[in-house]
Amino acid sequence: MELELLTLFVMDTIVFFAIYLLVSVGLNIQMGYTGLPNFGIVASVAGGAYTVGWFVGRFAMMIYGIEGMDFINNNAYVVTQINAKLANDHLTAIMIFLLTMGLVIIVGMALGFITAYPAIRLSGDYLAMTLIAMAEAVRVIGIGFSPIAGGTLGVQVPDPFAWMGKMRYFGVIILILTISIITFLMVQLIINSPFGRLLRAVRDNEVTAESIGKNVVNVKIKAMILGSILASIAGALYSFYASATIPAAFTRYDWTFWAWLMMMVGGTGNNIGVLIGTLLVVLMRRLIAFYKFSLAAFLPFEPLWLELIGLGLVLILIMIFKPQGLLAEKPTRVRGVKSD
Amino acid sequence: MSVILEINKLVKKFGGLRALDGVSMKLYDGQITLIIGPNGSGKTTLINCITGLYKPDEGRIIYNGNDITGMQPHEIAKLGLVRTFQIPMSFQKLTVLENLLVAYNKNPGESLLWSIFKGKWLKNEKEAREKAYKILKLLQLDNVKNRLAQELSGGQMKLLEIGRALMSDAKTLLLDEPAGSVAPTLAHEIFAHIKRLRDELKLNFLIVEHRLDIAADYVDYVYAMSSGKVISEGYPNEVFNDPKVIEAYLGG
Repeated sequence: MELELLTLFVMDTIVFFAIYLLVSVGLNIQMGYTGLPNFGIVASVAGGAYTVGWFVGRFAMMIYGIEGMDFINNNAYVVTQINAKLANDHLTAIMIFLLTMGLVIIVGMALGFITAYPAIRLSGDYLAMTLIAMAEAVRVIGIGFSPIAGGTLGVQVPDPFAWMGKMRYFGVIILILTISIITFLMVQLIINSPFGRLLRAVRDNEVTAESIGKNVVNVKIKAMILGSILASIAGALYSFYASATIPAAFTRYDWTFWAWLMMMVGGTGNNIGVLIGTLLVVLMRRLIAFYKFSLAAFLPFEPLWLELIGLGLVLILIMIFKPQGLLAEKPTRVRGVKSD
Repeated sequence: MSVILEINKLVKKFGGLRALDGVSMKLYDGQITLIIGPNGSGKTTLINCITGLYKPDEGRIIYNGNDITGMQPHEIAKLGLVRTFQIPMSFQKLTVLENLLVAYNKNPGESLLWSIFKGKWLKNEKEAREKAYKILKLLQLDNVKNRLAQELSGGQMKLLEIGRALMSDAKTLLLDEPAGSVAPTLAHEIFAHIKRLRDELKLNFLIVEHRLDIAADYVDYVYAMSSGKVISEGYPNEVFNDPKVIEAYLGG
């Protein structure tokens, strides 16, 4: 269907806001609340996406009895066949979607557990470096080992929403937004509780926390797992939205550094702040993506550099003027207890 | 009187340095025990070994009949043995009230799974608050309960340290210089609090302190340490007038 540029812009902003919200909030849980500098969160995002790329097509092939073809090598043909079937079978399609998301959550937990290993033993810069390295390993494996998600070329993913027909574009975006908001609200339930308070205590002083009987190792593992689950869901939703998983697309630049910017702009340790930060940063990025060539006349440099300049400029401004972010961290608002 | 904490020939080495060189002590139920000694005599190392921050090289530590030698710090804390730090280590970006609430150990809301279901932990949270308010009042910190811990004065931070230890249902508190770098009037108040807590809540205290002049009025038994060994023990007056102790403190 023909879409006006403005509609495209709005819908694009919405879907990327919804997807990035999960990544930045996941990061906020690990870094903002628990003090674990996860510069490797792209690993969890990629993990979710790889799961979708690996599982959906093969599972659908099994259900529909498509044999004699290799999912990776005959990808386009197989996916076209599957989509034709899915377009008329919305019940199976939804079942496949739910099953995949369940698997994505499990993969997110596993990746969170693995990345927790260095988080327990290292801190500060050394932890950050180790997590970057682990994330890079995930990316290299995905790009190099094609059975996972097509390696350098990536794979197309069958569309469990093909039955939406003409409304597919809008339908999927609204669905992703809904999933994102509901997940966000659930995270808020978890954070606005004694558990949220415990995370901040462990962040502020591990030794003291141990000395009053808290199992700090377990707390860190839980924080990494929770953040990783959210990031993996985001990666999976992105793959469903694009109907493709391309391992090369999950770069540190896109999924770690932009997410960090969203968290820092919004306010580390404040999920509402991070929501606002994500919205603002995604908006800025979309504006640049859509309108940078219109601005070419006014820019003393190539409009293609605008996005990179934007990232650097916002980062510098935040560090100078509002290092805590737009919304400061507040005491945990434990539900059900009135604060005085 | 029963022995609540027994330390048997504890040895802790850091490379060639024997920070603890065969230290033995007995703490009795209901007592306030004082450990004195010049800097570097091993007092804080002893507390770190007892509470699990360090693993001793030789010797046993027995608390309430349990051998706690080499246990993890959080496991020891759960048994009711809690310590404070020489330099107050509070949770800086948490409020005073939150500092206390975190120390409450029976809150199922602190588990990731149960945190979603308010019903599972609301009662415990409310209990924790009641207890915290009482302790805040006892230590006269209730007017700063919503301030961040990092905004407190030094003396208030010391009181918060003790308050936190109290929240955690500790039966035995190891206080590392509770009156350190604090004005004499406040130091007396702190010790008066400690004595009151021993009387009212039946708690045991092992206190490391330099201010002999202030501590003397409040303690039941004293151990003096120097260079990793116990050089004297007994009632306050005996130990303070022991020539070995005087020599250790004044150098030689």
